[in-house]
Amino acid sequence: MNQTGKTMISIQGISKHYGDFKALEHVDLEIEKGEFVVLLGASGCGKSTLLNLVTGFDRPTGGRIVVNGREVNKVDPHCGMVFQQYALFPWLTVIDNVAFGLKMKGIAKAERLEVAQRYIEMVGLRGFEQKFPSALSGGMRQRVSIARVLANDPDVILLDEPFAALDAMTRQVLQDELLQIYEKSKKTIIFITHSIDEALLLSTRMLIMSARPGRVVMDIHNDLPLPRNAEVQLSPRYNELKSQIWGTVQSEVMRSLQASSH
Amino acid sequence: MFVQRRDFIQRCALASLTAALPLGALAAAQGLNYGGSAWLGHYPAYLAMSEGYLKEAGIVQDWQMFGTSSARMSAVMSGGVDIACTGIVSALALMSRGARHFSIIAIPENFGRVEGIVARNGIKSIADLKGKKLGVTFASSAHLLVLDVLDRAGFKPNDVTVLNVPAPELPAAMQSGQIDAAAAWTPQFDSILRQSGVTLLADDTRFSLYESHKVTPGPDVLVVRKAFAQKNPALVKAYLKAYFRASELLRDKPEEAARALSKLTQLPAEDQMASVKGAEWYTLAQQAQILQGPYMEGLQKLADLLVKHKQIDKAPVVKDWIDASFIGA
Amino acid sequence: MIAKPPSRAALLGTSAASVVLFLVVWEACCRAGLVDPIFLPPPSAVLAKALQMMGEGTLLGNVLASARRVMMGFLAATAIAIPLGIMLGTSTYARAAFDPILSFLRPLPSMSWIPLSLLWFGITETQKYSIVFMGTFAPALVYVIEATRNIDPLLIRAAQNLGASRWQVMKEVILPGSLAQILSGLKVILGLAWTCVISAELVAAREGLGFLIMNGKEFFQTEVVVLGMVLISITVLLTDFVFRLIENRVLRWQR
Repeated sequence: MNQTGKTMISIQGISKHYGDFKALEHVDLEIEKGEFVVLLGASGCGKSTLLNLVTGFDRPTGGRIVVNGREVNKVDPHCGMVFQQYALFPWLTVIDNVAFGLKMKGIAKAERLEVAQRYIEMVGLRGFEQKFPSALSGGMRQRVSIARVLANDPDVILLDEPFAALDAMTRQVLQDELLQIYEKSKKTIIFITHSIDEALLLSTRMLIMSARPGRVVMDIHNDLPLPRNAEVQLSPRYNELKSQIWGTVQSEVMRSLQASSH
Repeated sequence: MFVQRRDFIQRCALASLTAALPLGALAAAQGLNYGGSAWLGHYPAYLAMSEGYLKEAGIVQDWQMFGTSSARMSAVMSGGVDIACTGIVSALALMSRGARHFSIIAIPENFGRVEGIVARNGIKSIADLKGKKLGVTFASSAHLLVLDVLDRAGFKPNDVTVLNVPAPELPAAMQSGQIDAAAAWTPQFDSILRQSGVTLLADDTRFSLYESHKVTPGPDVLVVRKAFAQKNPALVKAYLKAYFRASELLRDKPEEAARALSKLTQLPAEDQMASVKGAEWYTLAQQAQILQGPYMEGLQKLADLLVKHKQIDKAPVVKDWIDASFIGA
Repeated sequence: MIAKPPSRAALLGTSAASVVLFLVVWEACCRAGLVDPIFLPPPSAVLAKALQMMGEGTLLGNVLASARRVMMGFLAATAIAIPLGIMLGTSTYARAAFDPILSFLRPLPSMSWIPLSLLWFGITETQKYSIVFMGTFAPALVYVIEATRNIDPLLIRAAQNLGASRWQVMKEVILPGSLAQILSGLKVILGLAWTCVISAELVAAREGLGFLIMNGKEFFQTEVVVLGMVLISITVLLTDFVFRLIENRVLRWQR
């Protein structure tokens, strides 16, 4: 379960209510430095809400979150977020988008463009520096988004269903690239998906969340070997894990469907 | 017995009165549109209406107010106004373009001292105007007075800053010091003269043509829309009779006239009297001589002066627009 | 067979031809005596007047006088409206405070400001600029606020997540992000500014296109009136064209 030592994110007794509606209830969680945590669950179970609390976009109704020793009470660039809809600045070129966080920090132009260039190459977009986002495909835009977050050198990277809008082939390529970046940078990552396969592919640890009110109902260590190639994906251990998860996720989906039909 | 005789006298009086009334009164009342304002040139037309002279002649006058001569003449051109007294400058502007829509049928009055240049702030003479701001309504008689006076004083075009200010705004502009001098006509002329610390620099009697031809910068003429006159010649003649009856009132009984006029002009009684007395009100009998005599020569010179000061492109032959056919019996 | 779409040259040719046709018909009607030249002068008279004024050196002076007044008032209004609008767009409290004033100012036509402006500024150029300003400020502000509120909130979140402070969000995200909508609104405002300048020049002006039209009207020089109107149209079209060039440069990321 735990890797070597340092707690990066501590989620203590978090609840989030919107009036009568309870999105999250008593979530307790410790995430170690360097973990690749995947949050799995049906739609509306509060995964995005939890992420928004970690980044500081929202305030919890109860409990507190501590990231890298600091309590979260405002938006913090140390938790870099990659959005499903990319959220690139359409009036900026690729390189200016990637350098944005550095500009906000006040880093000089020459230096920040150099850093940005490195990350653009890291996500495989060399040659596209001067293009505008409108000229890029969905997959390329997501890469720019990832590079933009990486260039800011955050402690934690949060990804909210980043590949959901992409076609299967692009998704596969990006999943591979993300894994490579993870291995090279050793960043702590929280990744949201509703695809069990994606979870099994990317994670070191999987958290399954219940339907409303959101709570962690299952916490599984992913011991599948790397690289997670075709052979691993067809192995018995893979299927074992998958069936273990499937049942839980299924019942949670049913519960949430029943709850919403009332 | 007593009653019978009174009765009989009354009936005789009624009969003779009826005989004296023009034929038109027995027919249905006819209507016409008059373009007026609070300017003294419109006093006869207003009085003819308020004292009932027009009604007796069987004429219903629809009085419309116009702020500027050009607006009034526009209405004449487009048919909205049938008869109007107008400052001749606007009429000359149209005549120089060859507009034949109207004729000049009478000259109502001659006046002096109803417009002028007033200055404040220690400016005591025309020469002192150098480098100062003077407000006047462009394309008006006051404007021509300014051009004439400044020219004769030897000023070059930009020695005095002449600004275009609409007549109703002039008193306020003077009061608040936005302009150093104003050229206006009554009633704004009177209200500016009443402000404290002002000096009258020149009035219309200083106009170059006044000295030679007794023509002020903005003599009034009575115009009629040609199409209207051609269709209703008898009506126009009857109108002029009632009109000049009002002129007689202005001449012979100024207090009575002033009382009735203050409703139009909103002037205090004293100013109203001065205004009435300050003009020479012509009679119907005088019209024949005026329309054909040296006064017309003066008007032609006025047209030439306008050309000289670049207000109009070319001088029309004024007498081509005179129609003296309505002043006869 | 599918018809070929018309080429640009063909479309331009059609437009040009219709203009020529219109002018020819107009001229012919006047020459044939169908219209009294006082009511509508022929295009040749308007052209002759234009050439005469160019010879006297008065034409350009009038155009530039009005253009200067438009620009000063317009630039002053946008210089204040853009930052103020962005601030109001981002703060609900500020908006609540400003709304009553704005609602009161917006419907007032520029002409209604003339008496007050004369009292405050006298008969000066500043007074003219102020009329253009008062006529354009409130609508410009409304446009900017609208544009600001139309920004995708996700972009603001992304910027905050990347470390942008409140001011940086306004300068680096909201300003460039709303620029497209602001620019298109400003084109409308510029047209409005020209209306204001014309009404400002009715009072206490000695030159300018509005003055030209009013003076021409006083002396029934209708070709001067028409010339003034034509010049206004041309100048507005020119400024529109320049605007579009600016837009294309600033907004090239949209293609």
